[in-house]
Amino acid sequence: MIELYWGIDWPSPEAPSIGPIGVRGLEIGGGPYARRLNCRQFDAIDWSKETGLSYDIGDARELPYEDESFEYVFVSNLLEHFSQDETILVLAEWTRVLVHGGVLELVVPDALEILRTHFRGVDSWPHCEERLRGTRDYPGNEHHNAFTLAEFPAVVASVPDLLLHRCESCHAGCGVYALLERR
Amino acid sequence: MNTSAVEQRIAAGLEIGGGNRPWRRDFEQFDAVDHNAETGLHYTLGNARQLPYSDETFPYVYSSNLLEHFRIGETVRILTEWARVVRVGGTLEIIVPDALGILHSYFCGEISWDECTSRIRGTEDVLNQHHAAFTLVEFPAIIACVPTLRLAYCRACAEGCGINARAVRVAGS
Repeated sequence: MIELYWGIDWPSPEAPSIGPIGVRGLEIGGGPYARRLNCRQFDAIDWSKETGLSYDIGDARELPYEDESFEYVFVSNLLEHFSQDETILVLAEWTRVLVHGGVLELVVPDALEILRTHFRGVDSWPHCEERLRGTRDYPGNEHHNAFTLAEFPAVVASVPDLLLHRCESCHAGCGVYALLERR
Repeated sequence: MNTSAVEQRIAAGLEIGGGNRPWRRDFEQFDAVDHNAETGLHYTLGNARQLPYSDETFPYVYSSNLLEHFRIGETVRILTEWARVVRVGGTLEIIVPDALGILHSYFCGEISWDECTSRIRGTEDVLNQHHAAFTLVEFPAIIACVPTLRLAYCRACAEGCGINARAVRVAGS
């Protein structure tokens, strides 16, 4: 497994950073908030005007890359845009382009913590609703699934050849961060 | 109210917050609101944070869709209070909504967003609002925080939109 402890490389999994140096990296669905700047960017929409980065455009369910093309894949806040039925297939597809021993970093919203933030009076219901359902401000920017920290390990456990190293809270408690390795 | 009728109810069990749709008509009914007119049953009234019963009074205590009306910071304290009135070896059975199951039902197209919202937040009626959310996978960890309870099982109910947990009352340390 490549060395990728974000405590050393970058301050938090969600913070923008160069990304791991000296490896072939891919960020999927970074949109206008691309976070791993030295990684190849893949998205459904071309955000090059907003970001100044170059994007490969396509469907994240079918990546236009050969098997084992990357040592590192980073995907933040995209998995929840696919339906529950598609989750495993999508994760298997993202795993396919990783080399054995390569690293997949995932971030998804934590639905339970988002609700608890609302119930604590910290977050309004409209904002909470947006975090659960997506902002829906442009086509495709809506969610079709929800996850929580406690059950996320069971979700990724169904993907063949994917080994979970870490699963913890991020994004001030409202996100789930998972560090996985392709076996 | 004749004494033997009260004794019979207590011997059967306690239902907390059954409202106007109690699950067991033979149980002692405890609620914040008197639903006697709708149900014809006798209700003992009060605050479910402080039950007016002695320790270890009931063989069985049941509460459905009430725990989520209290803030998450109160959950363990309230469960401890409900466990207090269960006899050692008796059972506390809890049903609460499963927030993740409800969201999945929405994302699968089984329920509308409005329905999803009211199941997660309660109805807009101030008395009927929710103040906490739970999920099936993390609920056992909450029960585990109550020293006088030992979880027997925690499973999905209400077509995946509810959590049904059953715990045995054990002696406090």
